Amino acid sequence: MKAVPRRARHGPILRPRRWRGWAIFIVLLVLATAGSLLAAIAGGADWTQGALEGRADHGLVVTVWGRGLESADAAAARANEILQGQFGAGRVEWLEPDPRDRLLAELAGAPADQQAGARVLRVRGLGADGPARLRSILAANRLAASAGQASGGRSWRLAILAIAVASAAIAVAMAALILWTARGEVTANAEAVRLMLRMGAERGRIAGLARARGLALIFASTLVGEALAALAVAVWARKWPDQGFGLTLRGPQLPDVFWTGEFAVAAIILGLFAAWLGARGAVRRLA
Amino acid sequence: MSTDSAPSLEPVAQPLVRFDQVSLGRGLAKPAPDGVSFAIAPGSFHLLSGPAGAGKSRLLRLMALAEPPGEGLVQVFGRDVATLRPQERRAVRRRIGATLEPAVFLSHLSVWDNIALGPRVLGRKSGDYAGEIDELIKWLGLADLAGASPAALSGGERHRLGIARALANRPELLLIDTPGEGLDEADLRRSTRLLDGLARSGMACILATRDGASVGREWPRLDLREGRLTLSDPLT
Repeated sequence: MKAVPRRARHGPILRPRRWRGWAIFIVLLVLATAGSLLAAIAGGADWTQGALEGRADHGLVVTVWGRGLESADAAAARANEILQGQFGAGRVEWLEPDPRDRLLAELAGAPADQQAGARVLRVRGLGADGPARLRSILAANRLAASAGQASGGRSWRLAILAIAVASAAIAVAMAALILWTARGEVTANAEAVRLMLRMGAERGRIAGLARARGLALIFASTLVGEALAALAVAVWARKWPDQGFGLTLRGPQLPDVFWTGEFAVAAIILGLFAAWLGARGAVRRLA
Repeated sequence: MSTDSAPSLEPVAQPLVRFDQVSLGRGLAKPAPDGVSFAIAPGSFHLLSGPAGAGKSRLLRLMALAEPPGEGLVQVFGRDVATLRPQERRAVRRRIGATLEPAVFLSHLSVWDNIALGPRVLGRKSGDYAGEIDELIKWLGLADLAGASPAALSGGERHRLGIARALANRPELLLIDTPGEGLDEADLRRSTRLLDGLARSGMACILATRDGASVGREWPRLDLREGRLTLSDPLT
């Protein structure tokens, strides 16, 4: 007797909806890329904020740069001498140069075009009028300098929070799309689902068929989206290579790539739950 | 012997199916049979006949637990189907093989996959059932069509596909409805002989058909006509 061809076996039980699947994948991919990018920006900015506050150590930051024949180092040495004379040696510290100082100086009010040659001093223990007193002393001594709080303050924290919330909202939107997709898979195959229920199949097993589609979409889109966002961060970081570790005002840095993973993990976990919820609920309604 | 079934039950020891005063009334085109009572014994074969709209499909759907009973008692495998919990309902359904009209086949799957649907969704490993499906598909004369879509089959082939799919989980009770059109007398007689053979091997089988007379008069018959169910058995 003629053998049964093997290619006839084990097709997908739920009817594939290829074009719809691709359309959903592309929407998810765009969302995942945007969400990963925002997560990198929020994560990098938060890390930088914390790191800068640690470096400024609740003091005031004085940024000094060169002008005319006076180099930045010479200006910094003069500022150090003047300020120690005013406030005592224990309060004034000349910080070793660090890539983060570009942002530290910018946050303390130094003009961006002066930062390449700037040097940073930290002054602690001054009162509320500290910045004004520092600025008048520096101006009186004809130093090219600025003084101020190095922290981005409340507005920066709020901005970081807003970006993080936007990133989380994108993850939630992706989960909602997965829930809708899983429900749609069941509804579009309602006859097949009813047939399987009449055969005595468990609801969970039937829901698993639709859930698998949702999971494949969330995994593929999130991982590809994360890779694209990481690539974008890496390219951005190569364009401005000297901004230091963490997000600066000028853009993300190479280590910020790792923040994209935070988004991917959150999106996948939410997607898993949404796929489970959507498929199970839809099967329950048909049962 | 021909018996008006309304208030009586055939004396069947431990019936697989028992209907007692069941109403088939809802939504039927013909006068609705009320107070339907009968019993189906293990290893028996019955033709369920009657005109379109008489309630044959409703009767099969009630036996297949495809819809809830209204009035009366429906027992399948000794259990009142109205009081089954979900897991009990699943367990009962797994002991039943049914092809109800309109028959649903998954047109994106091959004939082979449609037959294997039951074992697949019940979680059996493909290595365990693939041989059985191959045997089944050959036995029903569908081997050449194993890779075809059900949409490409003739009425008779689709009918046999339905029987094959219903048999794939090795049920104790087989319920087969026939389509109103697209099935000729030869196909129907062939199905009747197949199911009679299965009944002799211990499986209870019911084949619903609009025109029972064309199949022959040698089979036990449940006849739904003009709002009444009549039981007849040519051997008795």
